[in-house]
Parts: sequence; C-alpha cells; structure tokens
Amino acid sequence: MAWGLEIDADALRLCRAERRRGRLHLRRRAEVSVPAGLVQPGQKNGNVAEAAALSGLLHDLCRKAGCRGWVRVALPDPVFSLRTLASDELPPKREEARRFLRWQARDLLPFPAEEARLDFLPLGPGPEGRVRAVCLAARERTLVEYERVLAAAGLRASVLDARSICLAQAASASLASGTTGLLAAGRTWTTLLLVEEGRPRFWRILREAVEMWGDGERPRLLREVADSLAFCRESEGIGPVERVLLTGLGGRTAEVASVLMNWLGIPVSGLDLCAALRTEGHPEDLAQWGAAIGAAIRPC
Amino acid sequence: MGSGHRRRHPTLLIPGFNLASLNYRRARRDVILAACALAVLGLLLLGQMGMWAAGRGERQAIARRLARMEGELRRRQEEVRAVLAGVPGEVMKQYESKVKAYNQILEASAFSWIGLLVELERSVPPAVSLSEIQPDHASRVVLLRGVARSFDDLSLLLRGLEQRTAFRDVYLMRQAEQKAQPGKPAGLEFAVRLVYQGDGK
Repeated sequence: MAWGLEIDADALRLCRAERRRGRLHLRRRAEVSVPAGLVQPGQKNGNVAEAAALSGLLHDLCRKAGCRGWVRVALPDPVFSLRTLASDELPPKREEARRFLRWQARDLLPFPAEEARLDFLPLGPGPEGRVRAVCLAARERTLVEYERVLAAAGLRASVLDARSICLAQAASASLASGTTGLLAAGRTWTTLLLVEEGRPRFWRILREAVEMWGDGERPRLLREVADSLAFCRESEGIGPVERVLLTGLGGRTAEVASVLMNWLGIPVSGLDLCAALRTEGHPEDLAQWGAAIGAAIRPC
Repeated sequence: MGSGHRRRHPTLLIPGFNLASLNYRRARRDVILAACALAVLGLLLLGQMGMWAAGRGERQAIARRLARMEGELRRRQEEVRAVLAGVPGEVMKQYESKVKAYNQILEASAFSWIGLLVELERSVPPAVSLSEIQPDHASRVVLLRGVARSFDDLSLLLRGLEQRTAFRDVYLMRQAEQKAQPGKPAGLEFAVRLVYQGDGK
C-alpha cells in the first residue's frame, strides 16, 4: 500500500491506498488548504513562493496522516507540457530515447530543451508509418523545486506525474477503451484530457476555474472544448471522441453535462469514481481525492 | 529519472509518466540488498556467538573437571601423608628393607645366568680360563676374573667379547703376570668389566 500526494494550488491531499482484486482500499487520508499564492503552477517561473511554508504545511499533513518516506506525487497540470511526437525511429534504449525526444521537442517547449525533464509512452505507428510517442515534459528546476519541498518535509518522490494523468489512472475502468474526454475542473484551471485506447493523447488546459462554468462564461468554455476536440482530431490524428466525462464541477455537473451533450452531440456524464474504483462505503467527496488515489494505486 | 513503468499493471490499465529524479526501484533494491547483507552478517554473528558460547561451556566443564581431579589428588595425598604419619619409624625401616630385598630378588630372577654363560662360552678362547664371574643385577655390569696363557690369548678374549652383541663397554681393568707355581702354570692374570645386555639388546 503506497502513499499518494496531490499538490494543488489550493490544497494538499494525501492518502494511503491500493487496488486489490480490482477494488480500492483507502486506508488513510488527510488534506490541508494551501494559502492563495503559495503555489503558482507554471512552466516558466518558480512555482513555490515560499518553500519553507509549503514544506511546513506538508510536514504537518504527513504527521497528521502518519506518512513518511516514499510518496507518489501528482503535480498541477500547468507544470507540464503534454505532446505527441512522431519520428522515423526511436533509439532502443529508454534514456537515449528520452534525450532524442527532448531534442525533438525543443521548439514546442516554452523553455530551453536542455532544461527539460521528459518521459514518454510509445504509441503504435501513425498513419504514415512513423513511430509516435506521447511525451510529458517539465522544466528541471521546477521539478527540483517541488522535490526540495518534499525532501524538507521528509518525503521522497518515487513518482512525479501530472494531476490529470493520475486522475485518469484512478478512473481507468471508465477510460480504458475507445476515445474518451475527461474534463476536470479545478479551483484555478480546467483540464480537458483525451484518452485514446487507454493512453493519454492530448490535453488542453483552460485557465478558467470551476466558477467560470456558470452561465456567463459557459458558452465560451463550451466553444473552447468543442474547438479543442476538433483541433486534436485534425492535428493529432485522434479518432472521434465517443464520450466526455466531467469531474470537479460539483452541483453544476448535471447542468454542464446536459449543455455540453447538446453542444457536442456525444454522450456527456459525470465521472463516477466510486464505480470506476469499485469501492463502497467511501465518502461522498471521493471525486476530490481522485488524483491522490490515482497516484497511490499506480504502478511504480 | 524514475523507474520505467511501461508494463501494464494487471488492475490498472492506463499507463502514466514518471518525471521523478529518484529511482525508487533501485533504492528499494539497494535497501533489500543491504537488509539481506545485514541479515547474513547477523546470522554469522549469531553463529559465532553460539560457537563461542559452546566453547566457553566446554572450557568451563573441563576446568571444573580439572579442579575436581586436583581436589581429589590433594585429598589422596593428604590421606597418604596421614597414613604415613601414623606408621612408626622402625616399622617403616623394616618395610623399606623388605622392599629392597624383594626388589633384589626380582632383579636376580630377571637376570639370565644361562644366557650369560652361553655368551661367555662362545667368546672365551680355549687358552683362557675364568675364575670368577660377578654380575651386578641392577646395573647389569659383569666383572670377570681369570687367567690367560699369553697376551695374545687375552687379546683374543677381549675381541671375542666385543664382537658379541650381548656385551658392550668391554674394558680390561687389570692384568698381571702370574709366575708358574706348583699346580699352576705361568700366565696372565686379568680382570675385565663389561655390560651384559641380555638377548643381544
């Protein structure tokens, strides 16, 4: 059983969980609010305004939950860049392939490629027979900043991944086949992640938070979602999205799902994490813990 | 960067990424190896301690046994001293003289006169006659006295004795010319000392 930690701009969530025989076993969980401005996720500048304060919060959280040592961490999506790259050939050794893809992504990253830390998932060959890989990249110094905060709190990161990827892992049962969109609204941004045949393929991070899904901004956001789906179908070669799952919208879920379904013409529903994780007797707010749970139960 | 995890997890279908700088798998393997090494060292240490404890027990048992035997010996010596103290001096002297006589008898009975005479018979030439054979049973030294007709005969006797393996350390102790007397022809009177070793030893 492993610890999963979600570092978000507004909260830190820590839980101890594992998936046994297809069922979730959630042992402990604890969360703490993060003061506004303390974590400012991004790819270019420093993310943590005051490392000591964040370490202190994390240290208290760990003490409260009884956590120490290795932890699997979900970091905010804006820290990362998710891209699909195509090449005639990939070096057979993983480390060489990483270096090659980092070089290939040099024009797509908002910082120098040599400052990037990158990991990838190989995809099947593309339409022209080229080798494709989905790459997740972040700036080295940004990740080091988070790792230092963790180390100051007595933790060691065995996994650093994006929040939406971890959330998708927790919802694997609902996303394993076909092409599905996962729209995750947070308090500071919204991510639309497309998962094709069980592999993350594309995301679009909207700077609009959950409150923006009210009546005023909703049409613009709906258009953004529709444009993003059209863009990824044309430029990334992703097949038609079969359905969209919503999470993080709270009471607005049914309303937004209805509107979005009318707009896109495909099934849209709220993500039922309890059903996806085959869990019983867990709290109503389990959806908030999706990323931390996904980090905890993922293989390492 | 963190360990690879491309293998599909049996209960988790969506693979993720890992940008961690620490390698959890390697660290865990190192910890397991270190734990195994510590366990082996611990077992060796336990084995060594067990052997040491067993050796110490054995040494203690031997020391106890030795102390017991020494105590027994002291007790016996004291008993002997007590018994000896109770015996009067005259009686002790009688015992000692009896023991001495018994020893002489035992030594004399162990001395083979027949063997000595057989060896002398083979060594003594015809022109030499022995008048006295005097053995010391304890030291096995034999003193021979006799008369030889000439010096050559005496030399023949000495060589004959030396050649016998039953004798060693043959020395001519004395020689003197003996003038002819009525009933006694002239010759060389002699005395020879030798060690009789018994059966050719």
